[in-house]
Amino acid sequence: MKLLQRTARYYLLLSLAVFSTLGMVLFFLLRFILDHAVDEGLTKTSTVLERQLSRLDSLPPEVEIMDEIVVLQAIGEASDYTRYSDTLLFDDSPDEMEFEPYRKYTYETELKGQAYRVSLHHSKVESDDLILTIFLFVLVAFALVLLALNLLGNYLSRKLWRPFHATLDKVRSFSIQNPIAANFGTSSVNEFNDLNRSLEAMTVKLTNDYKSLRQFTENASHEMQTPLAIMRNQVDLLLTGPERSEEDYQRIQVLSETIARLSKLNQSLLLLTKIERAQYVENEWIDIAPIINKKLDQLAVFINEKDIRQTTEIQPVQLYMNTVLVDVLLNNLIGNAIRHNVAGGRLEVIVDQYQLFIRNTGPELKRSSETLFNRFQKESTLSDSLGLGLAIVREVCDRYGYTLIYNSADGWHEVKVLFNTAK
Amino acid sequence: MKILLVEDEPHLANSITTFLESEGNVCSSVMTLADARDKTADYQYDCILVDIGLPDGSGLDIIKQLKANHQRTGIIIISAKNSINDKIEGLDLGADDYLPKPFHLAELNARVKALFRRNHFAGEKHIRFREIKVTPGEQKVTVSDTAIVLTRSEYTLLLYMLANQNRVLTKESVAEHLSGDDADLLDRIDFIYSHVKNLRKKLVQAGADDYIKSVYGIGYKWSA
Repeated sequence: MKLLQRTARYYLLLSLAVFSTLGMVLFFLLRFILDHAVDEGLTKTSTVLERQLSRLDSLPPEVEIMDEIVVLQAIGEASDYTRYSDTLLFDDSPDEMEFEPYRKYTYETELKGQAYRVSLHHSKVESDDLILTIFLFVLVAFALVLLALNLLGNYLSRKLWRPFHATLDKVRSFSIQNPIAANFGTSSVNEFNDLNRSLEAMTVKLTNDYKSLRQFTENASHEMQTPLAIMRNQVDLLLTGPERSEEDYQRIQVLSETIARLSKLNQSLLLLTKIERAQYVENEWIDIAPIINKKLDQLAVFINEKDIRQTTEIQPVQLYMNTVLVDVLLNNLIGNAIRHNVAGGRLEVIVDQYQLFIRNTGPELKRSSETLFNRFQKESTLSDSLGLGLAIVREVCDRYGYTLIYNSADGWHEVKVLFNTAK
Repeated sequence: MKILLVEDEPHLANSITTFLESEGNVCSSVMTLADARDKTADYQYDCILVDIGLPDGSGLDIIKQLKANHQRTGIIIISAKNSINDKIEGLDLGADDYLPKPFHLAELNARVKALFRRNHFAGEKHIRFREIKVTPGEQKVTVSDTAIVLTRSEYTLLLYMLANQNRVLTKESVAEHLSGDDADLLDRIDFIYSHVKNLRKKLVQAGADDYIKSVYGIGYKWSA
């Protein structure tokens, strides 16, 4: 629910309460004032009435005088009884034929030696109409206030909240890998200004932390090169010496393998940080079709070794990319499709204007395919698998805005790179 | 060959000089740019191995200086910073080769020899080993004067082994040498075997002796 809707709801509830209370108060107040006015009128009429009645020869039980209906009832003895009350009288005139509200004033008096109870009735239809009118007026006012609140809300959301939405858009488009100078602008509203300043401080801190983390990875990788070089050369020197025992050679081999693995891991990490740091920025239009063909050619030894049947459907496609990254992308994808293939398996490479599609047979994934492109997600227990290849692929795809899709079914693994070129 | 090594890491400098000297080279090493300037001013070297990151400056400076003096010295950059820009800049300045750390000493050895061959073209045009003759300029291999056809990988492998005769070459070192710049294409370790097997077969079929020895699964050794 929008904040505005929520506040509007509270405003609505509040105004409902205020208006209904005001309406009730108004209603009773008006009724009281009007009744009081009618009562006064009736009292006044009663004095005039007595004069008029005394002029009459005989007293009828019911007489209409000055808009008032007067009912006379003979009683034994007159007391000083007076009473104001509401009552309904049936109007038998042909165009009404219904009960109508009346104000009734009852008192006792003595007329021509006879005690009477006199009831004066004054129609309340007019005063009720007045109350109804006022009540309707209040209702209309309420509706108008609602409308005004709504309009104000819309206006506020468009005008007052504009800086907020602008900030929100900037936060959404913020990318830590590619931080454009986080400038959230200024607003005349203090709260929004505070928000923008806090966001700016936060993004600056985030960016700096991220930078230093990357810097750390890169430095660590660089610093590791020299010790690795020393280790490797020492192993090489061990091998230049005199003939050694088989056991010695086996130990040296383990060392050599481990150093190679460490060195490869280090190189992959360096490559990742370099892609992230937006090195390799020089792009050019490259037709990847011949490059793929060349790679498949170079890899023919491995394809034959595993007795993999290969199907290709390669059309020329021009991509605006960095040559090194094209190489990295293809090496990792095609290399994986061969490395994780099965003996006697199949490999399909399809390239057209819109996509690079590589399918290969291979054992089912033991891990979730969702984490496949994360770092150090190793599927294979092969020691030559570092778990960085697909992370690098994803990094390259992210860099160029390509969509990377992985699917697996029936012993096939499919990796699709959509170039997202305008069709 | 007279080789100057400019490297500030003593262990590394030590292993490189030890190895190169065991190959019959005269090798001296310095640890700073200033010392390197002094040495190159006083002596003529066939080859200079220079690290880029030195305590008192960039190794690229020494390349500039050598080229400014028109010295016909072969230059190989050995750098821990495997950066394309450094490589391009170094080669532009006139360096002959770029070798990122960590490298195998056998690899360095092969590069130094190749460089020497190129720089002294007037001298030895062929690499001979008994009945085998390789002409690097033409990428031609003959066994007892009969030409044999090798794939690119087999030819590269043969040259690498000839450059490192009587040494145990680890599979890792061979793999890295074969994959070259495509180091991450595939781990070739499992597949070196087939290259070695094919090369051996072709040489033997052409009448050469079998000089490639397997060494306890650690690698191979070329020896008579």
